[in-house]
Amino acid sequence: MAYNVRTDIFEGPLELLLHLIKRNDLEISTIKIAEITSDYLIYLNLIRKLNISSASEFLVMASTLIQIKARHFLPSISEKEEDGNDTLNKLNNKILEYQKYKKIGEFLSHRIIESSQIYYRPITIPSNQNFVLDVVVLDLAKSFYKTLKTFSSNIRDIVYQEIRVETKMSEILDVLKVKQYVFFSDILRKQKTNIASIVCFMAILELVKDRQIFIKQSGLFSEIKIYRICSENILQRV
Amino acid sequence: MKRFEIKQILEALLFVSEKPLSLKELKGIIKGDYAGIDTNSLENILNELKEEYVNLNKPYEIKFIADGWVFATKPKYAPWIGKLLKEKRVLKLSPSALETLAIVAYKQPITRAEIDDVRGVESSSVIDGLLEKKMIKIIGKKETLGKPVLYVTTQDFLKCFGLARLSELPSIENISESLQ
Repeated sequence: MAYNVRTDIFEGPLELLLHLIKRNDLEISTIKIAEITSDYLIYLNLIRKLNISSASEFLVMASTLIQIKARHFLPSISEKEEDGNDTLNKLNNKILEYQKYKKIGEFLSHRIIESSQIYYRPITIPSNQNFVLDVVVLDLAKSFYKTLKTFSSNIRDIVYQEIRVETKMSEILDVLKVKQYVFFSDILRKQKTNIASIVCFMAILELVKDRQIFIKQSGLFSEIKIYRICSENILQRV
Repeated sequence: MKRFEIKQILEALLFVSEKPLSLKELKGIIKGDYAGIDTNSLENILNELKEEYVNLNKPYEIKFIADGWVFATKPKYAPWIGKLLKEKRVLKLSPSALETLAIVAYKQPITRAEIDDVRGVESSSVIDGLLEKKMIKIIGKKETLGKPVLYVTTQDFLKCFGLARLSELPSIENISESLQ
């Protein structure tokens, strides 16, 4: 909608006309179009200042009014006069028709407030799978018991144990303080859990990266030996 | 005895239904077990049921609304129910939406161009808003130039405005008289 004046009193050109008619206390059948037109044009001017495009909405209505106004000033020729009355009648009928629906709109707005006081049963959202529960409490207990039996021998607690890579790194370095080298498999054997083994492996990678240890293997699939890098070793290697 | 059974069944159906149940729907459910039941006697039983609730003076009642029978609470209890549901249920409709809805209600089925003609302004955004709020729906196309779609009001519209049927709207002649 191009026309954007939206208040309770004003909306749309027909409504504007209605408002003006009401303000001037005019019977719809005896509209003094000339008077209304000047009011109307003032308003149209205002609209143009606010929003040029919205003014076009009024053009048909305004020109109809101006046409009637022009006829009002012209010397009357019986045929033309009738034509003018025709347009006037059409406009009157349209306004009268519109007024009816506006009135009904008011009636509806009262109804909606009254009806909002009435509550119906809430709408339940039906689930995609409509199922019927065909069990009794005993069935539930039975199935729980069955499950319990299957797992009874093998139930364990799952404990999360945090092993820090740094801890394992210092452990490995500690071992290497007293020994020249250590076997990778020996380190792994000492670990009690899988997670500890994994952390150990990561610790070794970390130590290699930091150039604190180096790793030797004499052949494919043979034992991996871990050596500590100290100044002597570096000298030796150089 | 048979009548009492039917009444109990109808009451149970209304109790679980969240939408107004039409006589046709109710008959469809019942006729398998109670052959020969007609809509007239169903309506009588429903009116009897409604009367029973009136006499019990319960906070809810059986109503005929939007072409169907349904349980509804009495308006008196709205403040507390509103607190429970924590929602604003009043549907907000602008004056332009209301008059457009009025035009559709009285002149349905109606095309957009016909609505525009009565209102004197372009109405497509208002119509879209009403469609979205499920107050109106598209029922088909008019067999004329351009085959424009035709709009009618919905069951939600009747329910929302507390109307039993479309004919409960004030007659257009009365409105005209009040304008004179």
